[in-house]
Amino acid sequence: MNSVTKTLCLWLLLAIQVNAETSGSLAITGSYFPKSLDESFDTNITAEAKVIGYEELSHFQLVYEFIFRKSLNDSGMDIVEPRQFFLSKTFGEIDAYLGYRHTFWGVVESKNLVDLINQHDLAAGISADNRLGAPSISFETYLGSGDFQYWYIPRFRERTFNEQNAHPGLGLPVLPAQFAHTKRSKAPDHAIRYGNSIGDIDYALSVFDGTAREPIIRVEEMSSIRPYYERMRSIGLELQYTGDSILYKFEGLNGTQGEEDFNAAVMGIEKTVYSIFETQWDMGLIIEYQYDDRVQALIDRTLVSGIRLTSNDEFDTSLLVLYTDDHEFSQSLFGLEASRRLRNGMTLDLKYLLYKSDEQNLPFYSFVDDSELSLTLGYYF
Amino acid sequence: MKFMQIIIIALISCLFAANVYASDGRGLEIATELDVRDNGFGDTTSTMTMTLFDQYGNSTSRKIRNRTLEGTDEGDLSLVIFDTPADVKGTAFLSHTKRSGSDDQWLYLPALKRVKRIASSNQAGPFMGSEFAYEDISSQELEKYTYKYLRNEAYNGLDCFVVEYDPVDRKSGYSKQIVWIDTKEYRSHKIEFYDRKESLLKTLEYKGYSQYNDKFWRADVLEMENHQTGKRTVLEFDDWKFQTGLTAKDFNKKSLKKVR
Repeated sequence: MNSVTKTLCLWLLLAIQVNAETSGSLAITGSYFPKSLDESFDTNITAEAKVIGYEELSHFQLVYEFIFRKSLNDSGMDIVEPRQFFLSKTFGEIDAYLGYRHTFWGVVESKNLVDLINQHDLAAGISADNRLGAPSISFETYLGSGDFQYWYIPRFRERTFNEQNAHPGLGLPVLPAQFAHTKRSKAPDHAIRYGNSIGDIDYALSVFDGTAREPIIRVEEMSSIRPYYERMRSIGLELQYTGDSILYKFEGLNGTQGEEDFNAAVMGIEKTVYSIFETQWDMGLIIEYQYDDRVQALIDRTLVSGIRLTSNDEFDTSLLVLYTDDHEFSQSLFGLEASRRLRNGMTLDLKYLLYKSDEQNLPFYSFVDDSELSLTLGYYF
Repeated sequence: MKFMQIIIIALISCLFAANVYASDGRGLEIATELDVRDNGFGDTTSTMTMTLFDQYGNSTSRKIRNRTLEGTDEGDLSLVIFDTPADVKGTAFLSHTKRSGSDDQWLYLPALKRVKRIASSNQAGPFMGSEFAYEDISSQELEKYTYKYLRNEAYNGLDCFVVEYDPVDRKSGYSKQIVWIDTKEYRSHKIEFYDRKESLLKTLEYKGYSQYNDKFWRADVLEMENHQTGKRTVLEFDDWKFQTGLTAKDFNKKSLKKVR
């Protein structure tokens, strides 16, 4: 985050104090890492503030969403982030956007392969809403009844990482990234996407040409780690069939990363059972199968299965249990997320992650000490 | 011969089944007139405060904005935007009602910027934790029920038709609805909802009707009481506007992302 952006953030914070179209949240998270090793901390406290709003300017609309995060023990999580800070204007049928923008591409639940516009704010966690704004010029319009998007991203944003002694920490200091492209982070990305629905089927096709979002992690002289970003060209496909109470989903990505061709796909089924045991609760059953043959993928083939319970009451209580299992080897991840509204504008979230692996040479073995129990109290205004 | 018997029995059962689902002439006439009188509203926008009361009288409120576009070939298109509770602010729910079969529904989750197509067979499920089911708030297409005229009866000093609405869709949470419709303006004033076991489940009352554009009647307050749980939900509408110039493009996936 350079000083210009920081100044902008401060200016914005002052500006929005008089603007009614502003909302936001404050969240405090306490985390406990029961299997933490000696070299890592075993508790952490993180505070995050989010400010969201928009303003009608004379010729444009200004939209912003800023994240301010501070962690007690893990400076890798600290961030002042313009997740959205853009001007938009509509020219006839075309919406144009200039600035930092956040979007979502994809249909599945466990891993959105085609969601390539925004870099992951990985230090904040693997959750789908942890993304960095994409500095971009983008256009959206209708093609027939479909939605067509074009994105030009002139500046690459690197993935964030936790501190070496944090959770999940890489255990070694992270050196500045290297890039395959001579222009490094200034090598631009281009992306297009077309999405539409035919009856019960929603589909989208996208093309991406730019710097790969996922780095290859290289260990240098066993004393430090260096992320290496390849160039990537890919075609993405999203498909969803929506039945009465069942969803069939597919996301596929095919292309080249560096010199290597690759294939990756996630396919899944989500079945909802309504009013279980004659209560207001609904139960969703999720099964997703992931395949990824890229070099940076921790596991080639993964089966994710889970249950989602929703209360449908005024507290919006929900519980999601996901079990990620590597069939070939004995490693797994058990995840539980529960949330509940305490009263209007106040929420409580519980998260539990448990990594299991018996063999030292398996990727999940290095995460076993990162098993986590955390509680988040959120206040929304 | 046995084969023929099966066919004859099957045909007879079809006839009986058809009879069960058929409307009587007068019931259908009344429901059609109610529908016709609201034809041509074009589009509407309104704001709504939804207050949930539990059985002990504790209450909590939500603020919601509604936009509806009258359907031509298919059912109405509707967009619901949540302003409070603050933790779901900006969440939007888009529904393309079908005259028959399941509606198409999408949800916009603002934190993720994600538009999610959702399965819509849950019409009997509660809307936002309230006593209103999705099927109560979705657009009331004529084809969704069969109708039986029961009697005329005074209600709140108005002469009313009392008509039984029988849902066509088996996934409906109701066995029947009894509807009080005034004979002069064809407005619904009270609906009794009976659950699948034929017990009285809920009563909905419409209060404070106003007429807009010299034609269209809308109630200011809808009060739903659940007799089985003692819970209650009150919807208070405000700021009704008709024919604001909305088009189908304001009711698609792309427009969901731009909702403010």
